[in-house]
Amino acid sequence: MKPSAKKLFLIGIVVIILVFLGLRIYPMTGKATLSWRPNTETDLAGYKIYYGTLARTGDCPPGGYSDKLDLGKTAIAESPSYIINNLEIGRTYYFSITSYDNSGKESCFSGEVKKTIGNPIIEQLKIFIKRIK
Amino acid sequence: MPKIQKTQIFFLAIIFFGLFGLAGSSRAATYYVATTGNNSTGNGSTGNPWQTVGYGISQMAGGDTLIVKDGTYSGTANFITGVPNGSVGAYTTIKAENPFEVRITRGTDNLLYYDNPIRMNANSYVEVEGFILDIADDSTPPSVVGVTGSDHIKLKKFIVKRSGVLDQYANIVAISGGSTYVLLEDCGVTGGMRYGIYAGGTADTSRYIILRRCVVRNDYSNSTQPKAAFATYGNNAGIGIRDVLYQNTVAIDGQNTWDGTGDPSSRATYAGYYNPKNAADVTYHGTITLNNYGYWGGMGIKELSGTNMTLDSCVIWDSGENYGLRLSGNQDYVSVNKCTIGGNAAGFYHASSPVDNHFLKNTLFYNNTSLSASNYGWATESNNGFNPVGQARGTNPIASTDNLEYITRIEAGSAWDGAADDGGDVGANILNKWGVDGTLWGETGYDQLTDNSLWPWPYEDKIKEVFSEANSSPAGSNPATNDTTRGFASSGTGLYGGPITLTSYIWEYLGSACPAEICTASSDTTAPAAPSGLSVQ
Repeated sequence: MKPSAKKLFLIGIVVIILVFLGLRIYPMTGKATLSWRPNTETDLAGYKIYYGTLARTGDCPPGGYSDKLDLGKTAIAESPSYIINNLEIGRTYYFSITSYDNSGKESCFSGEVKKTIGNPIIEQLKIFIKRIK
Repeated sequence: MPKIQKTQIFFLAIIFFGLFGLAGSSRAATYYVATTGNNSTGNGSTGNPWQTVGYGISQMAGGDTLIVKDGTYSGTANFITGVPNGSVGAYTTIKAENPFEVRITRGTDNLLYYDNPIRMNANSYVEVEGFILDIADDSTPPSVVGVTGSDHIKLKKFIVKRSGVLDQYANIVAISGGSTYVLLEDCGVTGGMRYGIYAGGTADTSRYIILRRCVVRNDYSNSTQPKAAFATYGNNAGIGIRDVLYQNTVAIDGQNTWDGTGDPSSRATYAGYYNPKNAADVTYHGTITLNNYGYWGGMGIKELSGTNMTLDSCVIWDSGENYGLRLSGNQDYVSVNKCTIGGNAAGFYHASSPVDNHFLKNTLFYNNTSLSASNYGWATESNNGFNPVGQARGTNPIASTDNLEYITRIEAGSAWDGAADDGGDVGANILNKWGVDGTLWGETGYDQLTDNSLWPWPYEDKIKEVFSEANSSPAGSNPATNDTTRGFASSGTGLYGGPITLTSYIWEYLGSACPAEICTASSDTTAPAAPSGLSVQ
């Protein structure tokens, strides 16, 4: 059954309001999922992620990054990965990781990767629309 | 028709995401604070954080998380107080982005009695993690960390350094006011104190308290009251606090804080652990008191009508002037099993009756000047080990001149190996962690011996670093000097070849090099390889 123009118009208004509210209220942050190959040292104690909105300035820590996350032993796994949440949408972030051992000795950086953080709602909508086309 | 369906699906999708967006408003949020942030122009995101911890907390709802970025935060504006309550499965969380990389100080603010740098007052379901609290030169508040009338509180990975003048009743960490389900885990406490970590009070009924892997060093005190690193403080009359669990806690290198005058019964120290008055149901698993000065004992676990005290695989070593273990009072049930008590003037002082339910089993007495200073006797006294052999007594004593290599382990092949009544060892083996990380009383694994090694001691580098910081004994305190780089905080090299650590100090106390599987040798000077294959999505 074909919906009437009036119904479509009303639905459209409701949808616009809901989307507007949703975009206003939904936290305007995104995430980045990092993964890497595991180190093999027997005294490995953990990894650290360094990141920021500027590319690094050196090959070893601190390298000019604004943020650091100590993942500790939780990230020691066969396929280590970590999700960084609450990144600002629209900004480009640069990431490197290091490893450290039980006595605190830390490696230099891995290769650097970057990601521009997208809006999760828009990204989900795009994916959905792509699928139904 | 297909066109209409697509249109309908499209609108439904938009409605769905619109509603999803609305639903997002009730989801837990994560906010950030940084020393470079701004409370006026910031929005709490990692890229645009707020500046003070207090402002961040004021923006939180129950179940939210506040992450504090590295740096030093000074003044009451950064104290952790007024935290909104969380709920089951949705704790409100305040955490340092990197453990022990955030330091909170008093700054120049004058503190009032309620200005505890961490204050949980009638809170529920709150978790705080990763902070160094460096509080100096203000006699109030009495506690740096105060938990009062709260439940389901997890305080993890924190170090407190208390310096300067303090109230003579000051406890650095205090749990009271009928609090229940409280966890302290991976913590260090040092500086001036009456009690380092204290739970209970003269009219308190707190229950279900766990202290897991906390290290306390008593540096000095101006208190004329009894003192100790840890206290479970019972009621004046009738049983008060009960159900307290100490797991792998350590009292270490405590100084003599008695001025040598007055009645020592009221002014002297208990070196490591003290349960004043009427406490009940206190259990110690794998705890250590080592090299603490105590007038009345290394562990004074029973007093007045205190009852149901259990020591399991505990070490009481080098406890100062008089006794290792001290029992007094008149209620029953004490169990001492598989402990190692050594290096003390007397192994124990037992003046508690009736003794119908007093058990002393499978415990090694090693190198005490005498076995006991008073002994009312035990209902069961069996399978205990003795060196010197002349101190042997009880049923089936295992007297031997064998050497004890480490205070934390019974060696295979020694006389005490497998000699316990259950086929285990006589004496303490403190090798693995007690309690699953993060668990409160009653949660799965909260009171089990895990498969995870306790050594090297978690975060020992940070604990040593903070404990080594200058902290002069203020006028009127005892002792008059405080060398913060003593004992485990000494510089130099351990017998195992690496720097002295908390782990190596404990393991090498008897003069044997720390085993390779426990301490990392200094010959390893190579950093691990840089990780490879990093990708981002």
